[in-house]
Amino acid sequence: MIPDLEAILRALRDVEFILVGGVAAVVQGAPIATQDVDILYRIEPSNLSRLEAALTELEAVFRDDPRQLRLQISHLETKGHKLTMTRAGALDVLGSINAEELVFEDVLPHADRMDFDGLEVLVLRLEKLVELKRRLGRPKDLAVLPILEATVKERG
Amino acid sequence: MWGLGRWAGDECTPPGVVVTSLPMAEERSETSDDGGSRSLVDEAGVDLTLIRAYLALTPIERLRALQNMMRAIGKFRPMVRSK
Repeated sequence: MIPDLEAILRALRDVEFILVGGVAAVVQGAPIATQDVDILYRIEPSNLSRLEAALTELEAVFRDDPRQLRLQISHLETKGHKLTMTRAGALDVLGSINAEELVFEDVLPHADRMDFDGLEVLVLRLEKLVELKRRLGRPKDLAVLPILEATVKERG
Repeated sequence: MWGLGRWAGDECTPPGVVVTSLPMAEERSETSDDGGSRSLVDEAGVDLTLIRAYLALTPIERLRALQNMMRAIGKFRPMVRSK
């Protein structure tokens, strides 16, 4: 499997989601490393169907599960974190984020639309990402905070 | 973390990435009191040179840079067991 982040975003073209996590930081100019794509999707019936189709296209299965279970609508209806491996790399499919269980609608006001060679993607604003990571307080989040904060300042 | 300055302009530049405004060495260093040079870092010790280089890229170029890094270091999570 060769990581192909563009393929993941293209497969999700018809899905309502917000790019969050490390990749969201990178595309806004923060030079950090990350190993997976994190998306927060809208929990709504038609969107869940589109997401299921996209995950099928990506051949997504639950990561670290030897049964290689594919995701179904019933999985996607929950607010939990679905950690998957796809043919294009690791993809974390999130129904909510942080301990507050923020859902798509909560985060939408803090997202900006960004263009990726003609593909428009909603991306969690870097300032909000910093705030959420600080609240999360996990070592891996705190480790990148100085870089994220410096990037916010440099962008002005 | 990957040092943009190490691959920009050489054979490691990711496909499709055009580095347009990577600072030159003279621009990214400051002269110290003893005449030497030091990196441009902020009060938290973060190297701003790398951040400025990333900010000079477009979003798709940043995405491709990350993707290329994932491929290069080979530390992407391994595929789950095959059937």
